[in-house]
Amino acid sequence: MLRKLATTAAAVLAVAPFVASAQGVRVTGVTYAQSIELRPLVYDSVGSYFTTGTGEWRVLADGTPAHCVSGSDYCVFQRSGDRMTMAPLTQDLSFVSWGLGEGISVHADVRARAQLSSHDLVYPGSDRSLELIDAYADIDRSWGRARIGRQWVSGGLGVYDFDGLSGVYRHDRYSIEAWAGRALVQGINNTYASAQLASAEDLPPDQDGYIVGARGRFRPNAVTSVTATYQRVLMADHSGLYSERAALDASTRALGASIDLALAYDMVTGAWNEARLRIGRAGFHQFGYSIEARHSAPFFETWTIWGAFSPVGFDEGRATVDWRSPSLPLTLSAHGAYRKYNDADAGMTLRTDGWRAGADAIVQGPGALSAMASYDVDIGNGASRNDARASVRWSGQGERSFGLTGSAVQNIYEFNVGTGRIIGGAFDVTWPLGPDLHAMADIGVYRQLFSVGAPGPDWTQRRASLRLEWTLGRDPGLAGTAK
Amino acid sequence: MKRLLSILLAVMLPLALTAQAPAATPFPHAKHAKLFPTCSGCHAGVAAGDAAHTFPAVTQCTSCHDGKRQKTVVWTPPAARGVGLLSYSHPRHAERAGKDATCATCHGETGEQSPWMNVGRPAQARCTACHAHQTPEHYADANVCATCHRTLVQATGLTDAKIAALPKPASHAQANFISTHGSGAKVSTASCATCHARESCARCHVDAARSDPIKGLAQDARIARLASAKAPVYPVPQDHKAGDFDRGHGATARANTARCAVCHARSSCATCHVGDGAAAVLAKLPDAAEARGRGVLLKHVDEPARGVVPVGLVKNGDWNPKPHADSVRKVRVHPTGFAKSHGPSAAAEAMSCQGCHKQAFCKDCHEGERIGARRYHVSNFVNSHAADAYGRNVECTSCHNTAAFCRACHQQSGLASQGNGRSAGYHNAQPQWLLEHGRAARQELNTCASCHQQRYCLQCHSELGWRVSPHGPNFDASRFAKANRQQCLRCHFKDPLGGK
Repeated sequence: MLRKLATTAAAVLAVAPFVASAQGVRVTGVTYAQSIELRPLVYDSVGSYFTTGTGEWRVLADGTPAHCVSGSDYCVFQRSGDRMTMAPLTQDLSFVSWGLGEGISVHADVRARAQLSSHDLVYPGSDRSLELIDAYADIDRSWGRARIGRQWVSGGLGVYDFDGLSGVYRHDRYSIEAWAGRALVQGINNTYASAQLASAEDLPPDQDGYIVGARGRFRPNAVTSVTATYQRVLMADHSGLYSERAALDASTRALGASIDLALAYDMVTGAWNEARLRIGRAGFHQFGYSIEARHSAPFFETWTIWGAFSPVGFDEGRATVDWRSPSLPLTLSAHGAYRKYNDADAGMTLRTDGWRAGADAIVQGPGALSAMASYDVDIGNGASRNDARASVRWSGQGERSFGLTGSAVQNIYEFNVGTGRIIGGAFDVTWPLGPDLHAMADIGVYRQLFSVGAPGPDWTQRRASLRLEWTLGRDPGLAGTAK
Repeated sequence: MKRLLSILLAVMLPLALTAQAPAATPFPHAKHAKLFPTCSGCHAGVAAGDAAHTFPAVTQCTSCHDGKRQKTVVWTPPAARGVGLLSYSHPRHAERAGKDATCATCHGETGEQSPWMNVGRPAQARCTACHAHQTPEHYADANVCATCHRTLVQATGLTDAKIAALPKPASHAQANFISTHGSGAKVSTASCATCHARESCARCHVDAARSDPIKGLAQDARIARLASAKAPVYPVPQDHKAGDFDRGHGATARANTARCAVCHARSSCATCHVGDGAAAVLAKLPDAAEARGRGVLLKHVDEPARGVVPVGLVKNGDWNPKPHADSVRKVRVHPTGFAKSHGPSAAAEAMSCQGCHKQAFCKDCHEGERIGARRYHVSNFVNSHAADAYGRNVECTSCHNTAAFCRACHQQSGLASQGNGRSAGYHNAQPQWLLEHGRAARQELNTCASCHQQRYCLQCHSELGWRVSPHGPNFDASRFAKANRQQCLRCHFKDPLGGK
């Protein structure tokens, strides 16, 4: 904690002189508090004569599985425990200063967390009380950009955080980008050998990683772009790699349709993590559509054992179609997908395919009211559900809005939750309290009506959140812009 | 005599041409034919261009129309009604008309053959007989108005009503006139000025203050009043209707920002372009202080209106602005479901993301726990997320760390493994789970890792445990070892490849 505080303070102090001499400074704050009720599963015991079946694995009268050790008069089962409340509080602060010279700016994002409730339940990440998300200086010119500090790179391989340098050189239709530095673990914003990762993993990496990557982009015309990315994360002692991957992403438009291609290849295992071709078109005689062919396989860095477990992917076809009424403010859309898993060469009797389908209706007129209804079914390995939702929203001047949402969800076939139905509703409001201060709040109540077949948690719960967004300073580059 | 007539011609013609629409009955020349032997008796100043004596004084009427000898009359000299649109020099025309011309040449109803004082306004053809139009139609664009007309601003005698009633050239009624009138206005601003002032253009043009043709027009309070009561008109340009306009308009805007500035002030583009990428173009657009109006103001459509209206597909019927109201059009650049499908497009940078999004925009979601701001997940997603996670509808790991986020929650809620392999929890609905789990694990290993630590699996899948190999038939051990040989020793007592 002290080290984290010192690092953050050092970063802030390092940029402070620049901020002080800047032409403009903008500070944005987001305060986000939640209250979430949960009933965690707890173990309980029951006399074996209350169970049906024989052997170790039996069930209670309501279908709940119970584990009965032979020779014992008691069986163990799981049920929802006492209701508990998580109340995480997150405070984000973003600093941007500019005008330090042509195209020079300094950025920093800091996040602080706290747990407001005294229960043992802790919202994920709440143990990271202070986090420096990024802090970098940036110089941007028409021909290129250079950046130093804690930053990130995003692209066909996902989002990678690191402490280091990056640069982009642009020339006409081409651009080349390169980055290097100490790698950070995504979602943790800390190093591979940090205590943060060690607290979450029982076999964490024992040394840090260094990231090196490059990307080339080519734009042959205004509607076509091709990007090739290569990146590796090296172990600090250079004895090996945590990952080595490449990606190719391309996008173009032809005959009114957009065509996107994405390929991501894991050079360590020789697996294609992602291969996706999508063709879509909007506004064709009130119709829009997309069709997509996709192969997806999970990616794991080599510091985990998971990559050696030979994960397999699936091949999937997806399609969407939407229709916009020429005379009414109504849009109808439907989507569907079917996926088939590759041969796993292991196990038995589990389903090897899955499908999903759904439909939406949206009414969005020129006025303040809009409404939406949707229904989705998702059937697959491990978990399935169907889900119906409807919402009404009023959006007024100045970003004021109220929304009311009702939902009915059925979880089916899921390994642990079994079959259950949850209905509920939520109300949300967004209201500007001033030109640079916005408040958003929502409150929801959900009730589990039916559950059978597994000791799933009781999802009956109340949820609420309050979010405050405020800004100090003006928006760079947009002076005089009417809002 | 001919000289006199030519002078009188020069006198009478402009009198007729500059005459305003009469407020009362015009002077009945024919009735007074026996009283006046010459034209110059009343219109003495015409020959010399003396405006003060172009028309007789009212006292000349009252010398007879005194209420006793003749009934009183009300008559106002045209000059007192102000300057009209016609610009005319009688002396110059008299000089050029020649000795044979008389007042009746132009003002006589049948020319010089007209009975004495049977005069009136000269026909338009009298003017065009010499000042030949390019096309017969008087209001044709090709004709040069300024030959005979003053600018509207100079025509101070015209009232608001008369200006509003000015005839409209046929070209102005053409369907594409609004889209195409700019090129004509640049070359014939003087003709435009006959009927228009700067405020005529500023009603729609947000760049009026920087447009040379518009700046060439003077300002006029009458036009300002008239324009304030009329809504601006913004037809959708043809290129905006193209399906790829959202992608391609950046290059067009950079190449010809002035064209954008006709309809769009900075606030319009800033609706979407809040990032740094388009800052250079935005800086060239009029800001709120400069633009008289806000032009076409775009409003970004948020959920739940998913993927309804790309920029180029907004219909005119969707939009009926009122005078001085915000001229709002709802736009949504990205297609339906883009939040879930944007990966390839964003990675390729099909559109410049930075053109519209601040650099931290991606991190708002991809950082994981900044939830709530954009409502990416539906309300209470927690009780329905399992199917999405298993089916990888979207990759959870692109925003959430499996260990720190998913597993941390599953452990606290009692869903995750307690490590003894015999709990009554997760997979107990399948008694033969140990035999079955291999397929499930290989199909959805990420979801296994969202509950199980690595050591849990090593209880069986290692040389320390039951020595059950987790490797599939296509596992390339040497390739894996080449990347990270140390990792092999997590499960094996010694290097299984013997250092190869």
